[in-house]
Amino acid sequence: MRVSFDIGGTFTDLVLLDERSGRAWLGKCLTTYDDFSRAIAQGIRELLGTGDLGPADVDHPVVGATTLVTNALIERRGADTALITTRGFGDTVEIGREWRYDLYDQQLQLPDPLVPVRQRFEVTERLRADGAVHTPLALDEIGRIADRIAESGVESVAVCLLHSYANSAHEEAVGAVLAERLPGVPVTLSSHLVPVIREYERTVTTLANAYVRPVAGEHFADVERAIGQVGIAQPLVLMQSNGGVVSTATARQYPLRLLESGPAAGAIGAAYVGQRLGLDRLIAFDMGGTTAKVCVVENGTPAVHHGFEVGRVHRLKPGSGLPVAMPVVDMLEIGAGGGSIAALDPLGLLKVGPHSAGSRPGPAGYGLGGEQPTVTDADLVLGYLDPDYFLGGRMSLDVDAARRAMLAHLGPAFDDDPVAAAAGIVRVVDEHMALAMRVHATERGHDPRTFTMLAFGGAAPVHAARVARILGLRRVVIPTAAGVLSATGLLVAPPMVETSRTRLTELAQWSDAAVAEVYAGLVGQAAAELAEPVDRVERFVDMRFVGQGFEIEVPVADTDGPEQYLTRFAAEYQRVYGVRPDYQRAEVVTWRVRAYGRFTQPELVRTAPDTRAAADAPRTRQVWFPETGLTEAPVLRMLAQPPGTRVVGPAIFQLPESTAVVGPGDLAEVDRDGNLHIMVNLPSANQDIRRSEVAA
Amino acid sequence: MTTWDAATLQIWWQRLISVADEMAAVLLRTAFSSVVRESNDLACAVLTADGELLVEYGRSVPVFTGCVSGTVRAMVEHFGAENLRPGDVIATNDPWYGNTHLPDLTAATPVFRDGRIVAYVASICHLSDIGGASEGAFAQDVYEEGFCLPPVKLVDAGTPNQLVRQILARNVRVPGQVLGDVDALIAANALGERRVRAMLDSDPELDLGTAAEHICGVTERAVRESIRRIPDGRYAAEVDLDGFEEPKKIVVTVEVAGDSLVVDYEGTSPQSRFGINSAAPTYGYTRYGLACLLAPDVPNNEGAQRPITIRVPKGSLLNPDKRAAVSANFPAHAIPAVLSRALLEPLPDRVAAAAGTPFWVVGIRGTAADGSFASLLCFNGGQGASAGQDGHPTLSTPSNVSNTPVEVVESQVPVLVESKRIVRGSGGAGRWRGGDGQEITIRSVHPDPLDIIFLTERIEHAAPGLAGGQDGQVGLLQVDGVDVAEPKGRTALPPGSRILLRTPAGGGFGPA
Repeated sequence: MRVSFDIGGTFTDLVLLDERSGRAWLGKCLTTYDDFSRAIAQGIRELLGTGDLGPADVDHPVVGATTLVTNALIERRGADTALITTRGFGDTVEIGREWRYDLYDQQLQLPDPLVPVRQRFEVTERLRADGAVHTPLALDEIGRIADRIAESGVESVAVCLLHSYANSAHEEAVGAVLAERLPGVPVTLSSHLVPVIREYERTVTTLANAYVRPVAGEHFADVERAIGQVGIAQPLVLMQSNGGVVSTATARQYPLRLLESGPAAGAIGAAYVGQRLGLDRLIAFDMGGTTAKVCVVENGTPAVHHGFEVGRVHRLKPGSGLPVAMPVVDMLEIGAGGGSIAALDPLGLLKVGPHSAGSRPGPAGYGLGGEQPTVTDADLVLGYLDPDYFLGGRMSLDVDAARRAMLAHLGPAFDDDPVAAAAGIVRVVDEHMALAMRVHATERGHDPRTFTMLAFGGAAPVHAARVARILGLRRVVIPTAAGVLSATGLLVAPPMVETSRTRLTELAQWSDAAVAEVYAGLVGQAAAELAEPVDRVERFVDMRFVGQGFEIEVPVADTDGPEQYLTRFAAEYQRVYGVRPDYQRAEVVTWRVRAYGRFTQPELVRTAPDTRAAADAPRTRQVWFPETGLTEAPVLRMLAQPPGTRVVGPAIFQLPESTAVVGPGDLAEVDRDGNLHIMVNLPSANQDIRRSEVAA
Repeated sequence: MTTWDAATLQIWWQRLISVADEMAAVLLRTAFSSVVRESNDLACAVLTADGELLVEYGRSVPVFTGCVSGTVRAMVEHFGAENLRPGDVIATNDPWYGNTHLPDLTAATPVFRDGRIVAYVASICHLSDIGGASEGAFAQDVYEEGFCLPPVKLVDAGTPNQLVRQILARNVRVPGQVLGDVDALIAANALGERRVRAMLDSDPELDLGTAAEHICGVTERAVRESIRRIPDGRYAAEVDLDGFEEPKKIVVTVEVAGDSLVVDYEGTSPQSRFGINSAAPTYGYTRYGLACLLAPDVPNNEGAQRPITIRVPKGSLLNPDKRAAVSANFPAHAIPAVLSRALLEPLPDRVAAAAGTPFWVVGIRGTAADGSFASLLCFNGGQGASAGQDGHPTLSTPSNVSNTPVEVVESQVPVLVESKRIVRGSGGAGRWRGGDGQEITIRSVHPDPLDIIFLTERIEHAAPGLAGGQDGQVGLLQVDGVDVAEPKGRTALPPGSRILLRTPAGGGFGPA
């Protein structure tokens, strides 16, 4: 028996899985912000009760994902932190990269540095780019810095020295002195956390880890205590942003690796469902209240990227946040969710998002005081959502309030027709998401039309089939566990640690011994962090042609030599950029391994049947589509449909936490596991959209 | 027929912008030039069949998107649109054709549909090298400044023009890198051309000309509305600069009448004998400066230009004769600040005090065991303050170039950056403080002298404060503790010598 939980901003999702029968029980409770562990303890007890099981039946580590690390960073609720840098570079963290993310805004906002000037300390030392010592470390200075740190009551320390990716000795010496002089104060070394080139990004990353470390440690301890209180005698393991799970001991040292643990778990869950269905090219599409997230999954593995931005201060604009150079499931975040507000801009254009009404006051239809029209309001006015069955019946919605919001804010642009305004909102938001997905996929060398879309989260099943039509993508799958896919993903993710190091090596200078040494070091570190025997290792390198500034990641084999590296790199370069240049000199910038622990993936078959659904009588309701205008469409409960059910759209499938909208001419079918497949009616669909635009 | 309601216009506009953004991603990732890949010295745009600017990549260097339309139109006029074929890539770096200066190469690709040109996609980037005196200001005419490529077909109906590539390669110091940059421009345009065609395939009824009318039309109306709110009248200002052989002055008068305005630079200093003149960038920075003041929320395109007339006296610093050297067209960077100064009275909440502009450049070239190296490093001063906000320290304004990380610098050229600090308190005092500049020390660790080029400004003339705010601190440039006699010059830096740069700080806003 296995248990997992995903602590999200609003809900904590839980899954209990009986591996022998493949049967799973799903739970959802409100996240308890005063003490996160309460929701977990309560949720696990309830699930065990439903399944008539006891805590002793849980015989695998409990797997968790949490949003707390991200929240602590975004809301600036981390520790009082000090930074130690090479002399002359205390301001690197404030100087940043000196560019403006908005060309025309003379009052640009930038994120504040995580550490004030008075808590930045510079130490005399200097390394060259190749790691050679230019100025030895002035050890005596560290003691004085330690004294000042001790006096100031700092709770956590980050150390980032220039070129430490090439030689960690100076940082380690600083760390040793601090450990001795400041017992109990955690020290994060950049050369251990993220030994990659570019000092601003590395410094911010190291600082961010130090900043969240004490808070994260307490959080993990709370969760462990909750598990103990329930009576489960199993350790806690945690999901990292890259899709691998890791022991709490390692997570305590490197909590920053958990920044995107929930979304990563969602991507892993999507990858698992795709694998079971034999789909090797997936676009995982999750749409919640404020944002939509998209991830490309190939051959069962979500793409991983080595850097992202957290806490963007301006409308999710790239460049307005803090860069974090950490491996993270390559997730595109779009400022489009159910709560995204629609408004006419000064030019009279309809804009949707990125501002969100959130969950309070929320969309106008929530009746909680929100007055501006949102995507959820549009979905409601168009009949996609059932006003009497929202969030699994926990909430009812006010259609009239949604219509009033359309009229009040968008009426003049749409002839005072609330349905036309709602249709406009849905067109803009669907188009926005489709465009972002297309760019995301094509920038990585993929053609989105050759992918299957897997839609989950509250709002994605509502919009998925239409977004797929715009993209020219043929099949959409809505998994049976669409509402708790992250918690499901946690159960199927292997233990995995990723380590990397920058060591600029031109292929012409290749030395078997040097390469073996780099990999041995990386595997050694990974094994220590994995805290269990290494089952298998994957190797990757970031390569570029000599003289370029951006690298692309290339998977390589243990037996490869420089010729194979060049061949694989050139092939990947062609796939991504569409050109195969004739440049002779290529180099490896960063070396990377992924070390996996032993893991047997459990079988998930079908969730417990929806008992409420069985008694339901067939119903219909008025639903609007561009092809048909308002039309009567059947409404079915997805979990109550027997395998093999086939319906030609328009149709609505009600899920416990969401609603799947099937467009006119689309073919929907329920498979043996209860997943809903929608075959999008492509060619005629495009014709129909254009006709309706002409008619509008 | 497409119905252009509030949703449709938004959708097509955004699709076009994403084409330019995607082009830039390719250019940025495949270019070799360090100022492109680390400092983002590039632009990408989609233009109409008439060569009018339709959309730009959001992080473009503003002067490029202000010039790209003129360059593309001049090239098309040179060839004749009827002589362009599918698969062509036309390019020039020639200032006579509206290009900024020789180190920047503008490449454009026509997009064909049913045998007719329906759009152009264009990319511009700063090449790794262009021969001649390159980046320096000390050249005395355009011929000294480097290799000039009049409009050519870089690719002719899908076939790369080997002759042009050979000639270009022979005229630059780092041929492999320069051809790599050229390939990056071609690849970016190829992607843009595919994207625009796919867009049209997905909706055969879409007419790009009509889309452009709508996009430029709403923009033009918004800009005119903004101008109408400014009381009619003449608004004048001037700003002093270090210049080269003598200090220079930019004088501007903005004459507002109804919903249009005229910007006139009458009174500006005569052209310099050296490379600090600005030809096309005058227009680019004027358009950019006005966009910030009039309609900062509206994406830039040709519509924003229509209500604006720009007059520049011939033979002046901002409109030199054709022989003039223009490589270090830095005075143009002061244009947005002087426009802000002029429009303080009618637009007090939108204007900003002068920034410690422009970014300073140190070009480092030399030869090592494994070949030649050439790298351009950029260092920004402080931002000017505005009503309600202090200027940020060390932020690229009005240009938009990032710094190169110290770790990357040192892995490419044989120098050691010894420190890089904010100069606290250097920003101009005021109700809102100007942004601070920075101080950088760089030591040569090369066994031979390094060939160094400096491009600096505001060592003698500070970035002025606005509305009663104080001036920012001036910059400082020294080698081994001695002020550099020619701070826009070229020098051989002996082994072990140290350069000290202190970038100018931004002006304050309002009385303290």
